[in-house]
Amino acid sequence: MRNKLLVAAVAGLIAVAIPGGGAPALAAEDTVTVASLPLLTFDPAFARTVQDLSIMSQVYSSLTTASFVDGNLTGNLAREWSDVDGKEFTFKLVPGAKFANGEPLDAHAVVWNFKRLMDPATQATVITDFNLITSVEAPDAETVIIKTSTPWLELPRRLSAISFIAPEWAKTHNPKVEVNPSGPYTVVDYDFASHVTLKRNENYFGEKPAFENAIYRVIGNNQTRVTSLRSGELNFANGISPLDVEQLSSLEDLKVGAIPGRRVHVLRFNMLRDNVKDVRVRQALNYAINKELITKTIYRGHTSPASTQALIPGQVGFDETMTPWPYDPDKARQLLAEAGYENGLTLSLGVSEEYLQAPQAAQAIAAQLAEVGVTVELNIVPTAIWTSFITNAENGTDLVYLGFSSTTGTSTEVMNQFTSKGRYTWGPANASYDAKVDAVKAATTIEQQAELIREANRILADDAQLVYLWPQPFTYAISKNIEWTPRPDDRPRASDMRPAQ
Amino acid sequence: MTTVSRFGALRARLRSPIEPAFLVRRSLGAVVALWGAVTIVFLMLYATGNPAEVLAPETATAEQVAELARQYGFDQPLHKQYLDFLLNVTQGIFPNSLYTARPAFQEVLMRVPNTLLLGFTAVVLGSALGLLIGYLSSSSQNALMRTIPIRVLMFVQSVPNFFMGLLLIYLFSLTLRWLPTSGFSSWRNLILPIVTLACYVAPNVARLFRSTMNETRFDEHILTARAKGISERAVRIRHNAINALAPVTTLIGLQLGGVLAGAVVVETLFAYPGVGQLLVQSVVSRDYPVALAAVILICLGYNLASLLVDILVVIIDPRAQNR
Repeated sequence: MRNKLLVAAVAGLIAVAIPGGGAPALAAEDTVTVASLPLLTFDPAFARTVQDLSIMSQVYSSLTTASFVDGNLTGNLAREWSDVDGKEFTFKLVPGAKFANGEPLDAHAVVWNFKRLMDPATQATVITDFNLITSVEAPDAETVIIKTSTPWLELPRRLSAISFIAPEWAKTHNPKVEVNPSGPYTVVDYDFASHVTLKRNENYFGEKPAFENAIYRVIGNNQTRVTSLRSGELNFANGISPLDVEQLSSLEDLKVGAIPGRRVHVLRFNMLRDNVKDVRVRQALNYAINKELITKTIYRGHTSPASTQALIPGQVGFDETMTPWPYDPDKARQLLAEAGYENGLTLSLGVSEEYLQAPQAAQAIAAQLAEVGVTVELNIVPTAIWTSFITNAENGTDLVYLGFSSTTGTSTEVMNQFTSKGRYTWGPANASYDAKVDAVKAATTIEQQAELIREANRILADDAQLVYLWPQPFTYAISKNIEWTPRPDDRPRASDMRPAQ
Repeated sequence: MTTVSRFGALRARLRSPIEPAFLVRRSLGAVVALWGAVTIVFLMLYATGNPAEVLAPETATAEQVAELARQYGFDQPLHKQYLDFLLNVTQGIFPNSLYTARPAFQEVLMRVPNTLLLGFTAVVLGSALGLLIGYLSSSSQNALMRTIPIRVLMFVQSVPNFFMGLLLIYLFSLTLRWLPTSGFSSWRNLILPIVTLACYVAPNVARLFRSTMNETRFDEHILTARAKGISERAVRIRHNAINALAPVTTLIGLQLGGVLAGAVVVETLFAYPGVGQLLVQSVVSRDYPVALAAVILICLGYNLASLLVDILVVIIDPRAQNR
């Protein structure tokens, strides 16, 4: 009797735990399998990770779509838009768009979504800066008018990250774990810890994706992603270490590549510390680091030194005339001596494993700084406690290794971080830079804004507020039978992929 | 030696081997352990940063993060947040997952069958293999059987979990292409992680079983059994091996705890959707209700397993509960 119970219990356990499917999900002609990091939520009010935003942009619609390939902004739900003085935006919507349950995705639904996002009770985490919005109205079903308290030219681009859910449906469903899609794909089934299976949405108002099915498989471990690529279980993965890029490029079925990504690596100074308050010390560090050598070796040439701005080409105000800070160790020694550190200087540097190859690069940086008499104490911190490490300026290190990027490609999302309002601004910031960034935000034409951004970035570079390193490379591997244009935003979308001709 | 009357002996045989006082003592211990674990995890989660820092998008300014912290109540003093949390828990109110809005325990319970399937199967297989090899190495007539299997197992034990997993993936997934590397879409996904975990269990069991059998091999009751003319195999199995089981049972119970903890590594390596992976993920994303629920359940499971083992040991050897 007891044995029978035991057998029944074990059988029950197996029945509960083993999914019904038979063979493992291998690539089929009409299916693309993409590696993803663990997913957290389907709710547009809370999605902030690249993997969540990637899924969201494929099952929902937003007013605009930002291209990270060429920096262009195109319409999605909005077919056209215009603004008056950068303060009053009129969006004309695609007529007849619908959610899967038949609910209309019209201007009224868009207004409802904005109200939901801005309602404190929602506790939305994505609406940074949305307090600038004073009203969102729908004069008719195809027109949305958004007014802001001050000019906000970047609004249409910022809205590319805001997806809309169905108002009526949301009354009886939990949008964090349920989807009523309006985008190119619908969700067939999902488990945030293991996979999301997407199927082409035949009712999508836009261009239909080429692959009927897309499977996002959650693989958090780098090594596992590489082995899954090698075994053919994955069609696409990104965030591969430069060493593995070389190893994978020998495989016949895979195309492997890298482009400079949107995240720019820099060192920031803890301006509470006296030893970095002298601008000559900060300039010396910029001169002392051989960025060319590090990008060629540690990054295997998949990126190149950043120019003296934390923006990437395609962003408004990116200055083509700016060049990387030259490598000149003699000049560095001279500057340090002038600053009174001819006998050397010791600085601590905090580094996270979060940024691709950062621990390795930091060791090279430490070695190069040693050559000009700067001793670096490295503090390499696990990703899980990195945030606490960099939010505690008093106990923090003299230098922090950080990567900055913009979610939607706007320039001010990045530039904000170097003002006194930045999350990781320790001690006093540069006041004229602060003022210039405020001017950037209040600009009423793109040309004026671009010029102000260039000026602001020059102020920051002249004051050597950052040590400019390199854009983090966006590395990827993709099956040869799939066509896809690399986009440097870490958000691979199955809807951008098509079978190779 | 005390003399026991026939009546006393009969009563002793009829009485349940488990005394209530023993159970109460053990349960109180479990509650204290649980409270300790919850407190440590709560403090750790908050000591490693305000959750609002992680909830906010990376482009948020300091002001916006502070506003978010206020909305979620993360700006309150730590002791107040902790006391509020404990007060709520004692009233049966547990916060929901920050990302899915589902009850935190539901999030964890959804993953429990996966982890139990992995852990139990690995412990059962590993223990069976360990017992077999332990027995062989202590009692086989064949000198090769006495030495080779246990040596192989020693070698296996010296390979770390994650590396063993990588070796298995390399051999069975990449070279032979028999098994999938990762995920959980069919029973074939289970084989490699189970073998990896079983490789951790078997050597410990084998070594302890072997040494306990060897220690008691010349005990008086075994010499007596032999002197009575019982066959050598029966002596080995019924008198030597069975008596060596008590310490091994305790070890197997502890291995179950170890396997659940080790599953964090193995689940991550094989991208297996279990409790371990969820715990890691919830800590990284600061989904503190889920992280706390996971720790509470793991702690409960561990305590339950060790309680069951203690009861089992008492059944095998009733003297144990008075030690």
